[in-house]
Amino acid sequence: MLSQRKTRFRGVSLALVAGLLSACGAQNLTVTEAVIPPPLMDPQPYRIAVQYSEGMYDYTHKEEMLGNKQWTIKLGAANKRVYDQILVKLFDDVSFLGPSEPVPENQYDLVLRPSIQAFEFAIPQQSRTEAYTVWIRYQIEVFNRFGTRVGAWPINAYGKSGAERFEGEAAIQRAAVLAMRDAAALLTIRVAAQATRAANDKRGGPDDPALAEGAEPADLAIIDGDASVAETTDNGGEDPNPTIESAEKLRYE
Amino acid sequence: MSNLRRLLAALTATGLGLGGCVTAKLEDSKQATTGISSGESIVVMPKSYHLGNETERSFTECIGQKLTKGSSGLSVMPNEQFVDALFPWFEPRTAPTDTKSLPKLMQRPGVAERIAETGVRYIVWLDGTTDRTGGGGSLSCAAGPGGGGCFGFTWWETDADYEASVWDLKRLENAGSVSAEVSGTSYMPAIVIPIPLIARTQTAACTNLADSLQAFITGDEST
Repeated sequence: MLSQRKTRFRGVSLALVAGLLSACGAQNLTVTEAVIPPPLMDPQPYRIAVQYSEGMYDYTHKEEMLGNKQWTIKLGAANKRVYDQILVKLFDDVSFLGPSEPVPENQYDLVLRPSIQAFEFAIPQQSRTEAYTVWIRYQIEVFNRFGTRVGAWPINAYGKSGAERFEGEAAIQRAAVLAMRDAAALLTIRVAAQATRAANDKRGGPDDPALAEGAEPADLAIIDGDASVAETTDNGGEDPNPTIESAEKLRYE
Repeated sequence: MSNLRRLLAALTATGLGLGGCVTAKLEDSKQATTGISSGESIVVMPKSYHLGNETERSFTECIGQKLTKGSSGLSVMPNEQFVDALFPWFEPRTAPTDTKSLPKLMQRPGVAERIAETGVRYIVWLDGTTDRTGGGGSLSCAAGPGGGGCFGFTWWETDADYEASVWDLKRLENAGSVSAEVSGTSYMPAIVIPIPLIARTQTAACTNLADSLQAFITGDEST
């Protein structure tokens, strides 16, 4: 009788310990794919090549929260698939190149290189609200037909999901999907405002203004946000003015 | 024993059937004449989460459903369908924040045509939430080998404050707004079993706001 009680007590203790461990344990989730509707915009008449960074093919975010679980959020290729969906609608002719594939010279009006710079999220215990939020920071490097890097478009996407309908993993998934949709909306607006300017950039080519006799050095910060982008992005804190660190050349092979 | 059980069952049923006290205040402010034709519809949208707390999805759906009911029921387009049809111009980040930006939005390629295709004449922007504002009392429950029970009394107050702004997409102007402020106190006495007397403030706000909106939109324009 006594040994039976001891066995039962051990069982209960083990269950309690297992429960406590799972409360402080790991939380793994995979973000589902975001479906992006076709944008209400005519495609730009350019041939572009898209060369994703390695992170766009398989992205995993790991974060250990103080006093909470270790979160592992697997986005996989979800970001790439969002960009795939939107870019083919934004341009007349889109080719996708592998991360290390050589870029054929003079074949494209623009070469875009999207990458993920950062992923962050917040849960209600941190924000002291009922919301689950996700931020994804992308950067798209832009090269003209001569392989000169003419700009970098930052895309700071944000998604928020209330705890009313979704809890925990489902809420983070929903917020991530909304952030990716936000990125698609921002990219659409940026392309409409700036693609023509980037595609007509002559730096690095035979008509480079810097090659003209007595010309001043080229102004590197040529792609800046126009009024429409500034207006639509003010609310979300998006920087409408992309920066250019240097006029790098795209490596042709 | 069976009499006690019957009494408890009756008390529970009474509690579930009754509700707490609710007071409602409705206001509307009309800035233009309104009216809607048979081929026109409306869309109910929550305020963007970029501009603060988003209205509960359940409340937005409730308003949408109630507006379709009754003799002057309106045709309501699901907001996800409207937002998808106009991507990317009605996303949380890009949606217009006032009627001054409507003319510029309508000039964008395809926007006016797509809105005409949807048949949406009015956008109803919902702003507000239901919050618990106070409470008190105490209630404790205990269980033993012979059974369990709860004893005590607790109460709490909830405020449901919502405002609906009505934009006329035909005239590109703000037609006005309707607001509902509903507050209520819920009670939970417990004698062996807890008997909740819930004040359904959000439901009351939804019903009152939807009724007022229906009258506001069907309004006074001869169509």
